[in-house]
Formats: sequence, C-alpha cells, structure tokens
Amino acid sequence: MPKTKIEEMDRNIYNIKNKDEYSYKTIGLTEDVIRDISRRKDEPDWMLDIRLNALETYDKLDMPTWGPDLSELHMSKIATYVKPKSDMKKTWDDVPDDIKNTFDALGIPEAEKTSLAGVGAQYDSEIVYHSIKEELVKQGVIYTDFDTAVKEYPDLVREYFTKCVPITDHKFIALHYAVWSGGSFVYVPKGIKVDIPLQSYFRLNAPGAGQFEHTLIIVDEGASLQFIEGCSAPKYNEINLHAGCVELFVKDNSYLRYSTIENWSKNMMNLNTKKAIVGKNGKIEWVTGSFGSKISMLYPMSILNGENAICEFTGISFAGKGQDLDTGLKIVHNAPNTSSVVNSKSISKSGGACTFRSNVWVRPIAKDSKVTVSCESLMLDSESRSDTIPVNNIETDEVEFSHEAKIGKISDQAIFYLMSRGISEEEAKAMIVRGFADPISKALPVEYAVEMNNLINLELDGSIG
Amino acid sequence: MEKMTLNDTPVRTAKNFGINDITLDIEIPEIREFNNCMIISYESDSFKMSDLFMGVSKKKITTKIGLELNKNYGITLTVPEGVNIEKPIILDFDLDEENSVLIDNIKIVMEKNSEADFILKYNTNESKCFHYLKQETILKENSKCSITIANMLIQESESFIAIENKIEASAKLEHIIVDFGGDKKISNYYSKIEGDFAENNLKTIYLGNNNDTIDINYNIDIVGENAICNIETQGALNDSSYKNFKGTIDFKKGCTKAKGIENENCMILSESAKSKSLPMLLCHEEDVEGEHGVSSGKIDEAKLFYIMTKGISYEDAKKLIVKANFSNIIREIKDEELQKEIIEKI
Repeated sequence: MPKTKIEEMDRNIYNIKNKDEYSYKTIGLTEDVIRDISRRKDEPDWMLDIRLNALETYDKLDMPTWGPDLSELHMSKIATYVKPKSDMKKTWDDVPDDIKNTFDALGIPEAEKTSLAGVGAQYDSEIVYHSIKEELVKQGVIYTDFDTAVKEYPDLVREYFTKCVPITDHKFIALHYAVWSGGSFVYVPKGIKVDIPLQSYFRLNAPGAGQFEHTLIIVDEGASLQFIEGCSAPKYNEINLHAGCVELFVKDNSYLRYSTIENWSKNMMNLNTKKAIVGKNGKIEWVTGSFGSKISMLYPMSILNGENAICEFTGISFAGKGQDLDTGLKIVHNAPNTSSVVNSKSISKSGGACTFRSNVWVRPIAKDSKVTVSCESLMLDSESRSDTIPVNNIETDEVEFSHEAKIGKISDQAIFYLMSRGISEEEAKAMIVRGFADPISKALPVEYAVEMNNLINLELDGSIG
Repeated sequence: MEKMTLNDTPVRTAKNFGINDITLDIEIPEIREFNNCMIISYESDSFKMSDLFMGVSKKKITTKIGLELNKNYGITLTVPEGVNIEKPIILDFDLDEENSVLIDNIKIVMEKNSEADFILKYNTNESKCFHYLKQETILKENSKCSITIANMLIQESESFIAIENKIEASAKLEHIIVDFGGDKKISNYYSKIEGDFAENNLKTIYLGNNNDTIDINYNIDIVGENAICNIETQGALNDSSYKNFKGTIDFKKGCTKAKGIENENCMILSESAKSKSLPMLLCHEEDVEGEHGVSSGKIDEAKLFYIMTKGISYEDAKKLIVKANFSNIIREIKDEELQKEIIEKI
C-alpha cells in the first residue's frame, strides 16, 4: 500500500548561525542603557519617559512566585539592545547577504511572493526589511516597523501604546517597555477587509541577547485582518531572552486572526505578553503553536469589552527534552452575550514539561455569556510531565460555562487498528500525534500547517516507537 | 479577630487569580471541655475505641488547612482484621451554648480485610458554633470503609474540616461530605493512594447562603498502579455567597494504569453569588487516564418552567432541582434518618 510521506524538514534552517556582528550593542538594564537606546532611536521625550517609568516599575515588581524556574536568567548579562549592521530596507536585494540568506532559508521572501500581503523581518533588535502591497496602502492600511510608526504616526501610537497592556501588568512587561525595540505597527481603517495575511518574523541571532519587539495592531470598526507571527533563533549555550509585547485592538464589528508559530531555540526564555481588547460584535481568533524555547510563560489574554464579542483560542504546545512550556490563556467576559471557545492541546516527551494555565473570568455584567474550555494532553513517556492548572471565575448566574480536560497516552487500540492495516508501530504513533494536532493545523494557512506538521515530525523523529 | 491565610493549593498559580489560598478574619474562641458526643453502634464489641481524649490538650492539632488549635475531643476507632461491621457507627456531636466550640481529632483505622461505615454528625439547634475537625483514616490492605461527615450547624457558625487518608493495596475508601452549616466553610482533603488497585471516592454537597464563604481544597496523590480516584462535587450558591473549589489529582510517576476523574457542578441561584474553581490535573506518568470537568451556571429555565406548570412555586421548583442534583450523593449515605434530615435542610 503506498504511503503518504511527509518530507523530513531540515532542522538546520532554524539553526543557521551568522557571525555575531552588530553595529551597536548594550548589556544589562540601567537608566544609562535606556537613555542610550532612546537617544540612538532619536525618540520623542514622551517615549523616553515611558521607558524610565517602566524601569522604575521593573525594579519595584517581584519575580513570579509560581510557574517555571527562572533562576538562570540574569538581566545584568543579557544584551538588551543589539542593532544589526543593516538599517531597514524596502527590497530584499538591499539586505546584507548573510541576513537575507537566513530569511531565505526560513522561506520568508518566497512566502511573501505567494501568499502574503506584507512582511516585516526583524533581526536581533531591529527590523531589517518591511514591505506592504501597494493596493493596501491605497486603502489606507498602515503596516510598518514600530520605530517608524513612533515618528510618522505619533498621535495614533500615543493613543494606543501601553493602553492594552499596561506597564504594571507584571515584571517582564515592565522590562519590555523599558527596552523595547523593533516590532510592527498595523492600522486597518474602518470597513477595510485585508484578505491576505500580513506576517512579521522575528529572528534572534546574537548569543546571550534579548529581543523585546512591540507589536501594535488596530483593526478599526468593520475591518478585518489576518496576522501571522513567526519566531526562531539558533541554539547557543547561554540564555537568550524574549520578552515581546503584542497589543491588539479589535474594534466594533471587526475581526482579527492572530497566528503564531513559535520555534525559539532551546536556550531561550520566552516570557512574552499578548493581549486583545475586543469591541461590540468583534472577534479575536488566536492560533498558537509553541514548539521551541527552554522555558515559555505565555498566556494570551482577551478582554471581551463589547456586547456579542467573541474569542476563539486554538493552541498546541510540544515540549521535548529540557523544555518547560507553561502556556495557556486569560479571558475576561466584560459585556453581555460574549462568548469564548478554547481548544488547547499539549504533547510532552523525553522529559519535557507542558503546563496549561488559564484564567477565565465572567464578570457580573456579562449576562448570557457562554464559555467552553477544552484541553487535552498527550504524554509520550513517563519521563515527561503534563499539568493542567485552570482557574474559572464565574460572577453571574446568567452564564453557560463548561470546562473539561483530559490527560492520557496514545490509545493502544488505535495503534493496534493502524498496525492491522500494515502501518508500522512508529508510523502509527506519529499519525495519531499528527491527528491530535490536526484541529490546530486546520486553523493555519496551508504553508504554516505544513511547517507545523514538519516541526512535529522533527520532534517525533526517533522519540517514539 | 485575627487575619489568617489558609488552605494553600499544592501548586501555586498567579497570585492575581486569587485562588492559591484564602485570607479570613477569624475570631479564635476560648476552647473549653466538650461533653456532648454520643457514639452509637449496634455492634460495639466489633471495634476498638482508644486514645479517648476529653479536656483541652496542651499540644495543638495541625492540618493542611493551616489552622493550629488545641483539641477538646479525640478518639481512635479501629476495626480489627477481617471484621465486617454491617450497621454504621455513628458519632453524634451536639453543639449547644455550653459546648459551642469543638476541636476534634477522629482517627479511623481499618485493619486488613475489614469493612465498616462511619457517620460523623455535627448538629446544633440555636447556638453559633466553632468547629474544627481533623479526621484521619488509615486503610490497610483490602479493607473497605465509607465515612460520611455531615456539617449541619447553623448558618452563623464557622466550620473547618480537614481530612487526611492513607490507602493501602486493594483498599477502598469512600467519603461523603455534607457541608451545609456555617458562614465560613473551609475544607481540606488529602489522600495518598499508596497501594495498587486501591480506590478513593470523594463526594461532596455544599450550600451557600447570605454572605457565606466556602473554600474547598481537595488533593489526591495517586502512587499505586491501577488505582482509581473519583472526586464529585455538587453545590448550590444563593444570595451573595462565594465559593472556591480547588481540586487536584496528582498522578505520581509509576502509577501505571491509574484512573482519576474530577467533576464539579455549581448551581448559581442568585445574580450576586460567585463561583471560582481550579480543577488541577498533575501528571508524571504516561499510562494513566485523567479527566476533569467543571460546569457552572443557573438552573435550566426549561426544567423550572416544567415543574412550575405542575403548580409548584418558583422558589420550591428551584429547591426541587437542587435536591434532585444532590440526590445521587445523598442516597449513598448509610443512614436513612440523616438522608431525610439533609433533604429537609435544603
């Protein structure tokens, strides 16, 4: 019987290490470092004030007393700003060869030609390439790097920056606001539907560095957008840090799908913060695949502020040897008739630990809201861990709320059935794992679904059977 | 009044989720001798009573709730090897104005192949009471035991129930907790299922009225192979009552083929009642089956409407539905009188 074979993916494409070259670099977290970053970016005073305020807040806040062990993180050793040797370019030909070759290997320029309406590519602390299709510009869509946005659209940036994710949210968001650099700014005007996705890709090349990009997306009333975020880094022995921030404003009657395929190297601490505020009849869809990093603490939050607002969350985590992926979500139902559907899956193998952590809060005002949370965990061996830690906070009687979770191994019956059809045990298990991840694959654009399946194949290679 | 932080979860989550523990203002009462306990058994020769303590102890009892107090009643009940006691052994505690504070430590030991049912009943008529129970259970190989703890105190009371169990191979423990009395109802349940093929079922019903605070913290560690545990909690919240449910099933490495199920259903009967839940599954073993489910919400309108078409008032229809939801658990209590009393109380 002919078998469908998914091509093995070359792991080396994620592990391309370019020479550690930069035009400027700062180490540690001090007021001087922050003033230096701000001066080099030629920022207005109000932005410097935000940075300094954030530093003060960072110093006051405690480290989390829960979740993965962060004791290996020493901020004094982290390179907080690494300016690559290239400025932002508008054509790939102008990007230095080694950087361009990295993005070529990751398939970004090719994807731009075939399936994207715009691309932003960040290398270490700065965007090195940004583009947007001309027809979107004519419709008034703004898609640019964040530094340009601060200079060219200061009123818009000031109106929204820090308003979704406040500086005081937690220690690592304060750190982010103190040293943020790079990231994307998107504004979709009222009524404009952007049918083809925009993508920002974040690549960290410098060993021992942090990446603190800021993504701010405003989807105005009646508009729609699909946005894809990708991230990767080569593996080093020292700890790298990612403390990015994503602020999403989904206005009345608008729609945003925010997809992420995260494949950081396994020396990365990924302490990222994402939040969306959704207006009346608005909809946010999160699609998340977490494969990389040594430690992840990531809980995208949706605040359903308008009547009939909807949140859909579809996510998968895959933890292998040495990985501790503590992921999940937060949802606040803050208006009547809001609804949320959560479908989360995790796979742990070879000593990896997956934790699903969530907080769903239905406030008294959220009458007639509906919440459905489902999480499933698959353990591929007994060296690994899989924990489910969901908090459900219901403050009204007019609610339909249900939460269910399952933990288990691959069903022996299913393996037996597939083997009786002539499929080897190893392939049968791999098929079941791919089937387990199928709902997430289906939610991704086809190129990214293939990438996710390939990542699963890579992770499974030689690990089961 | 003393501010105390109690009932820590076995694993912490973010502090601002507000469920890792509970902080309460507690007035520690004066502890005096307690004289109102009656032990009722039709087969009193079949089990041993030891370590009877009356008076006020010098040493404080400690539990996983985190409250340390001097006890004023203690007893150990041991069912010898191979003995099967058919009728339940009832410990009836009557709290009144003279005996309004009870800090009791009840230990039950089931020797190999023994079988018995116990009922611990806490009643009061009018008096506001303070009750803190530490109940320990040891089940040796192949023993079987059911224990019902019925908190029937009046609403103004304060109730703290802490239970700790150790379960050996092929033993089966069933606990039923009826948590009705007290404006503070704090409970903690910890079981270690050590033996292979052992089983632990925990069934709880609770009621919240007025401004009641209910904090439930259950934790079952599964160590033995082929072990089973089942946590089922049914509750109803009225007025401005507030409830935390924290349930943890922890599959320890090596507990192959173990199964653990946890379900919580909370009926919210008023718009100002609040329900918070944290149903945790922790897993360090591949070959297990773990499930949890939580549901909250108001009573089904269609059910209410149907009952009301039969001439029953809105309030009575609500009570009927609460009783129906609780009935599966109430029916398993091995004392019909107590069953009736509980239904009456709803």
